[in-house]
Amino acid sequence: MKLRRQMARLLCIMMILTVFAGCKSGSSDDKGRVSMGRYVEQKLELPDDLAGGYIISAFTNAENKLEVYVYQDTGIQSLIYTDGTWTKQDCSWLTSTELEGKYITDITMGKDLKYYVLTMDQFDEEGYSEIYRRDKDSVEKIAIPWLEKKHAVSDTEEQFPFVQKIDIMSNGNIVMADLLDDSIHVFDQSNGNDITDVTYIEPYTIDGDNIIGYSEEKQKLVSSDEKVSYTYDPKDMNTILQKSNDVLYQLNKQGISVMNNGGTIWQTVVDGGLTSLADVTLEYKSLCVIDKAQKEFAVLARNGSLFYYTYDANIPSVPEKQISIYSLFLNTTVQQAVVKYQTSHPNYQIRYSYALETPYPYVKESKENTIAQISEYVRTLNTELIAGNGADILLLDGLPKESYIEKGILEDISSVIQPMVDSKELNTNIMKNYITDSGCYYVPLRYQVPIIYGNNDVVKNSTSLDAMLEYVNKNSNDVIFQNIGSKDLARTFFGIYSKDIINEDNTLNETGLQNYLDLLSAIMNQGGELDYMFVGNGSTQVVNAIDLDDGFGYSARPDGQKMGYIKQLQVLEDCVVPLHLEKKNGMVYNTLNHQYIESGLFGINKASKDKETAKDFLQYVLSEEIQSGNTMDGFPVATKELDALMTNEKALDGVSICSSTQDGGTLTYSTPEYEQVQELYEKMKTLDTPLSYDCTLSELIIEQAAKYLDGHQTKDEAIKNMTNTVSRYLSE
Amino acid sequence: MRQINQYVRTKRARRESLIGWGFLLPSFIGVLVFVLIPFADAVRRSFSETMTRKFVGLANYKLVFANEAFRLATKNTIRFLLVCIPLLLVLSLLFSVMIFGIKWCQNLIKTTFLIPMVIPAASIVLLWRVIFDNYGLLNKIIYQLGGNPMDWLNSGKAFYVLVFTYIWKNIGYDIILWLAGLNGISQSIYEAASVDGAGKFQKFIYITIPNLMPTLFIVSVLSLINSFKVFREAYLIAGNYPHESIYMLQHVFNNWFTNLDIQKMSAGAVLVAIVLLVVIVVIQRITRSDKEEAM
Repeated sequence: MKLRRQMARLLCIMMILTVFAGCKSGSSDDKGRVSMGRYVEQKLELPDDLAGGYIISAFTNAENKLEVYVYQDTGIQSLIYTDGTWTKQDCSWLTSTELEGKYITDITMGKDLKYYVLTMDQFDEEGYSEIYRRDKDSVEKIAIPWLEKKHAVSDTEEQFPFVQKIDIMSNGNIVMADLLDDSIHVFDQSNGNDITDVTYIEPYTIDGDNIIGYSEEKQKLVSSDEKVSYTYDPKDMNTILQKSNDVLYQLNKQGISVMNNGGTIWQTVVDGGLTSLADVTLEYKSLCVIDKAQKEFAVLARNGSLFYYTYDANIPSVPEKQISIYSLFLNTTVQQAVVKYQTSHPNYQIRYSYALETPYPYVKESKENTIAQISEYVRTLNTELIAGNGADILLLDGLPKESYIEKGILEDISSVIQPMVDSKELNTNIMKNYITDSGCYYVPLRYQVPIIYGNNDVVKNSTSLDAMLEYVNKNSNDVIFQNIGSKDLARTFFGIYSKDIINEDNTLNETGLQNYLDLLSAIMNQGGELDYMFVGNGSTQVVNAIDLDDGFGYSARPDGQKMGYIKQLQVLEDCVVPLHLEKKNGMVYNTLNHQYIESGLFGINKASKDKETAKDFLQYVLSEEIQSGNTMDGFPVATKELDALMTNEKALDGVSICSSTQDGGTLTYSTPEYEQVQELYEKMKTLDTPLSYDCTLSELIIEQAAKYLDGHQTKDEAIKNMTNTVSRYLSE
Repeated sequence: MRQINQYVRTKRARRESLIGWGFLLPSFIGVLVFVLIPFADAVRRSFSETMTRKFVGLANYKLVFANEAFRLATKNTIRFLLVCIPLLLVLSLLFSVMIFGIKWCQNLIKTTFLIPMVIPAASIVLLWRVIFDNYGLLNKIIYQLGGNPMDWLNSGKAFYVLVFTYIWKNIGYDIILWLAGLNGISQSIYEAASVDGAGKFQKFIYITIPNLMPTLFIVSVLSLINSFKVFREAYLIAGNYPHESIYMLQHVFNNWFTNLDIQKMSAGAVLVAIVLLVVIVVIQRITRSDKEEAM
């Protein structure tokens, strides 16, 4: 009995000790001990005389050195990179008569240690690829009939295979991927016959005489001799593989990772989040592994940028200073800025997390789920903010920003913004909306331009809800706007006329509400049957909670002379359709009462422990380096960068848009004239009112409006329900 | 000798008391950490500003009392409680008495009544949408029978859908509690009453009901607490801003939280806690048996 009691006491003591041991904050020995060493990135610049050249190819040559080929107006130049220096090498063989007049798209060294060249006969859809092999000083063409034969890409269309890179096995056989159907083909080097025996899709790499490629059937990377296989996540788009000395290397947005033969886990060696590799705008072309005591890597991007990674044992494995950013929706400007900031500030790590890719997903059914999800995410964020935590930087698109200001969540950023506004670095028309007597708590990083275009009278009457209703009613026998479905229609027109529907004190304007419902009803009746072609045809790169592009995107047709279209210009290229129709079909366009749409509302959490870094990052995002980039989410708020974009005569060079019609025809919209772009720029300069509204309130109205349009309630019921719900919302 | 006995008894009593505290301690710590301290924090926040934590006295309470949405939600919640709880208590008691009388497959019937409790709220909502939607099953049946279909979820009828949901979900649980109470009544009392010539109804009124009073307290309190859980269904069916007839206190709290109106939420929570406490004490007083009172 006594022994049992003592045993019980002992167990109790052990339990208590274990609990306390688990709670310890770490011994004093651990403090100050930081694990050291990580790969650092260096963007390789070409020698001065080749500056401006475009790197078409990079690979590890037979001497285990990085060999690159640079395209210049004067021809192609070959360079070798060793220990930080470039050495030119002779590449006169590329000027041989066989290659004369050919457009070289790739040069590589095969596993058989011979040079191969991929060319294109002419650079359009009628052009086909050819492959040449260098044998000592001569160059010979390898005849591959598959490359010179058109293949069916649809029931009515045939095209030549589209090949961007070639790989050569040890036995000289050639491997290519046809980007038109993602298939991988192997060709006999002696006769050019297709000897593909295993079905793979990209990514793939060569291992001696084998291919390691992704097998859809097995859901993993498999060697063609079926001796080895590797786990692989097919969600990782834009992946490049490279096999070197029994080790498989994988390059994707997460960085460079390795897996040994027989291994099961990818081990990250170069962290994408700390380098340019995570840049969403970067498409990789090749990964080169330079075999040294401590391996080195080179990554060539499709835009010609070449990054080099070397191991530095003297810097901490994880950057010492860390700040975090949170947003409801992915913001590509911030995402790119994070990558660039970290590259230029190796001591900083910025963790950027977002809840959703886009506020309005392409799939219509998902929109309702997204709206429900958003309030869940907001509540989770609020919990953190109340506890005095939360991210250092908040992107406030879709968040209750006014409530955050009222509750003192946000830091005053006037000290950063005011000097930039005073010096006219930032667009004053836009920034004045964010600087108040009590301070400046958030600013947009970019802005988008909603326009209405089409029939002259439609555009003229778009200035107010009353005028538009009157016009639509007068032309009741014509189709003025396409029927894009009740909810999308309600959402789009609420966006345009929110100021006519909601008073300044957020109460409902009953006359406005009546007109809004009448307008929607009239459009639905005129538009006839729902046009499914345009339903949910929203942009895939929406970065703001407000999306006016829903359904009207590229639906404009030259024959739609009586119609009106709404377009949310997010990039300059978006103006091609409206300006083409202006030039060729006499359509007109205008802004929506000088309103613009905010994108990337940047605020700093007052509870942040590193506000200075957060402010420094804000300055960086508003700097030329970031504002001049095209992240497809709006126009720069920085004056100089906007001017540079809009006055660049070559900005839209070669940009034209083709779309197919339901009856099988093709519509082509050509590049706008420079003067037209200047006219658009002048209109953009007049934008001074944010098209900003309470998203919760808008959803309450849109929901009831859609029910009315779908016939589930009368107009009076809809108005009563809207008034009830909105007054309840406001009284909260 | 008497002194020694007293000493032994006192020492033993103290030891037993210590053991009792020892057993109580883990759950007490749990309640302290997860209920009492957070509630104390809510009380503190109800007297201060959200982020600055500046003391504002009763200002938040005044705001809450003046808030129309809060008043509407309180009215709806009280209406819901007044309709649901008596209905649930009576129905579950009737069913439990009936089941108690059936000896054959009693367990099967009990289990059947408990099934709604294990169905996830999301599945129930899906089912309700199929049944109560404008184009749902119920309207189809009404139409086939020559009636006029109605919008069950977006009209005043939504309240009755919610009442039905609550009763349907909780009746099995209450039946089990009542059955436990019924099992606790000694059969000898019924036998004695039978000898005295009491009928079934008299036995129910004069024996069953008085003996179920302690159970009534437990069932009432648990039903009251469970009634607040019906918010999940209301929220999943109709979102943050449902038809005004089913706009409950939890909707207000939920929306206040989204807008970071923590001070209002805390004041509202304190008020609700006080009202609930009063209600529970009243129920306890009413249901306290004579025996307990004598003690």
